[in-house]
Formats: sequence, structure tokens, C-alpha cells
Amino acid sequence: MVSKKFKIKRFDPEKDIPGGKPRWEEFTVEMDPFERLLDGLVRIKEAQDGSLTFRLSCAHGMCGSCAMKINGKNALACQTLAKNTPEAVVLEPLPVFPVIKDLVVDMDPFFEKIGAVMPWLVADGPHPERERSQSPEELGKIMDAIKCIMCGCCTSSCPVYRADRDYLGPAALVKAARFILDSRDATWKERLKAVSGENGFWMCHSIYNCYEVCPRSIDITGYIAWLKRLAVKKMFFPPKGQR
Amino acid sequence: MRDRPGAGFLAFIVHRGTGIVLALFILPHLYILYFLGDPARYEAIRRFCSRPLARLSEAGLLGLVLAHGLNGIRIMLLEAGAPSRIQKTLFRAAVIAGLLLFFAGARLMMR
Ligand code: FES
Repeated sequence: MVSKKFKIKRFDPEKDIPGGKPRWEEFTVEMDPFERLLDGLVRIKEAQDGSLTFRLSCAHGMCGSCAMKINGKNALACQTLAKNTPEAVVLEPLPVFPVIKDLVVDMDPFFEKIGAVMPWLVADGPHPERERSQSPEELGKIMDAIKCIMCGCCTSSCPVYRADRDYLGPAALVKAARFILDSRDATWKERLKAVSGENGFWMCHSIYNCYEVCPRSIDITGYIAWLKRLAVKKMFFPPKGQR
Repeated sequence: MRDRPGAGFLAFIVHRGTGIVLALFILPHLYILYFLGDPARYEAIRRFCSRPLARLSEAGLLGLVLAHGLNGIRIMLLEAGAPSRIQKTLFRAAVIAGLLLFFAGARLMMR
């Protein structure tokens, strides 16, 4: 067992002034080195301060609920082992998004951006009797992008998004790339139009923060660069058919 | 946000910062070129430029051009499809190549 100090940036909408001086609170928890920081947070809530607020759901790096800033870098609390952190861990809510309470932020601006890129399959032709199948090669093209759990670590770490909240942000751009690359999807034109506007991928400066923080190790900046190349290609060599 | 800026962010700041300074430099540069048609005034400018301080600032200009150009090549390679995992290596390579070229060039210039 190791003794971990949790330094948590707290905000209570009923007590604190939004944007006022941040309130830091410290808790000490005994932890097994192989436990995750999320376990520590749960223990604090259960035994020390029931008002501590954070999100969790799967506890296995699958739902994206527990994204927060851990020692200065966006990550998932359920994916960060106690042994891989210093004795004192500093936890803050995801930056840029409005804080609701403690480590819980308002993800609506994030999901609005995802919604703007048509995050659903638009298939043409008659409905097949069974599923629309893909070859392993076709699946391989989107395999990396479909790993996204929409935790928001990338978009909230992006300096461009921080400077301009109208920017679609890395998560939404990866979502768009994922459907453009999908062999079953029939509408790349509208998709490319949705992400190549003034708030789209041309705003990306290839700073690689998104790539560095992604808890699913998705090549986010690589996908955005691919979108840029695709737009240039389609401009100089406009395709005849749909695809 | 990462509290400690990553290589990609540093590269961006260097690229942007040197870009702005170079854009500002272009203005006096064009202004001086304008006097090429007037030998007497051009000669005066040339004499001014051969002063040690002016030559030192020329070496600084070389540094700016190297930092901006090499970082530009890095971004172009990455956006043209170079794998993201080498972005840090490319930044380090740009810094090392930049420093080597800068010292070699500055030595020639200050002779
Ligand atoms: S709780 Fe689901 S990702 Fe951490």
C-alpha cells in the first residue's frame, strides 16, 4: 500500500463564484500501486467527503466519462495507475469546457461539434437482407478512428480550440474522417463540406496535443492531415462519381 | 491542455513567432532594395550594413530563416503523410540541423 495525496481543484456552484479563485482541497488515501486513480476518488467520496463530484461509468477506459486533467495532462482517471503517478497527484476538471461541479464539466459544446459532422452512416442502395458487410481491409481503414470513446481529452487539450470555441476540434474531425473512410458510407461530399469550412480542419496547426493525450492512442492529427490532403486532392482532381 | 508544452506546441510557437518577425523584416528589406537605383544612397546603406552590429543582426536573420524554414519543412512532411509518431523526432532534428547550420553560417558571415 502507498499513501497518495490527492490535490483536487474544486468548484461548488452554490458556494463559489464562477471564474473566481480556485479552491484546492487535499485528501490522503491508502492505495495499492496497481489501483487506478479513479479508485482513490471513489474512496474519498465514500469515506471522506461525499460532496466530491466526478463522473464515472465503465471504470475500464471504455466510456470516456472520467476524463480529467491529471498532473497537467488530460487523461482518464480509470486508466491511470497509482504506481505511475507521483506521490501527490493534482486533479483538475478538463480545461476549456465550462465546469459544472468539481471535476464535472459541461460536455454539450463538445457533443454539438460532433453532431455537426453527421456522425451516422448514410448508406445508399436498397437495405440489405442482413448487415452491410466490410472486408477486413475496409475495416482496417477505420479501425483506429472507431476506437474513439469521445472523452474530450483531445479537444480540450487543443490550443486552437481554446482560442476559438467555434473550431470543430479534433474529436469531431476524427469522427468525420471515420465516416468518409467507411466503405459503406455514400456521402463523402457533404461530409467533406461540413468539415472544410472556416471552422473545419484548415484551422488545425498540427500542434499534436490531441495525439499526445488521446487515451486510446488514436492518430488524431494524422487523420486531420489526411482530411487536408483529401480536400486538396478532390479540388484538383474532382471525381466523376460519388466515391 | 498540457501544462508543460509539448514538442508540437513549441514547434508551433517557434514557427509562428519567427514567421511574424520575418514578415516585419520584409518591409525594411524592400525599402532598402528600392534604393538600388540610386548608387550614392545605396552605397551609404551598404556601408551601414558592414558595421559589426549590422552584421551580427544578419546572423540573427539567418537564425530566424533557419528556424522558420526547418519548422516549415517539418510541418510539410507531417501534413504530406509522414507518420505522427516521428513528429517529436522531426522537431529535434530541425533544432539540431538549425543550430549546426546557424553556427556554420554565422562563422562565415562574421569573418
Ligand atoms: S470510467 Fe469509463 S472511461 Fe473511465
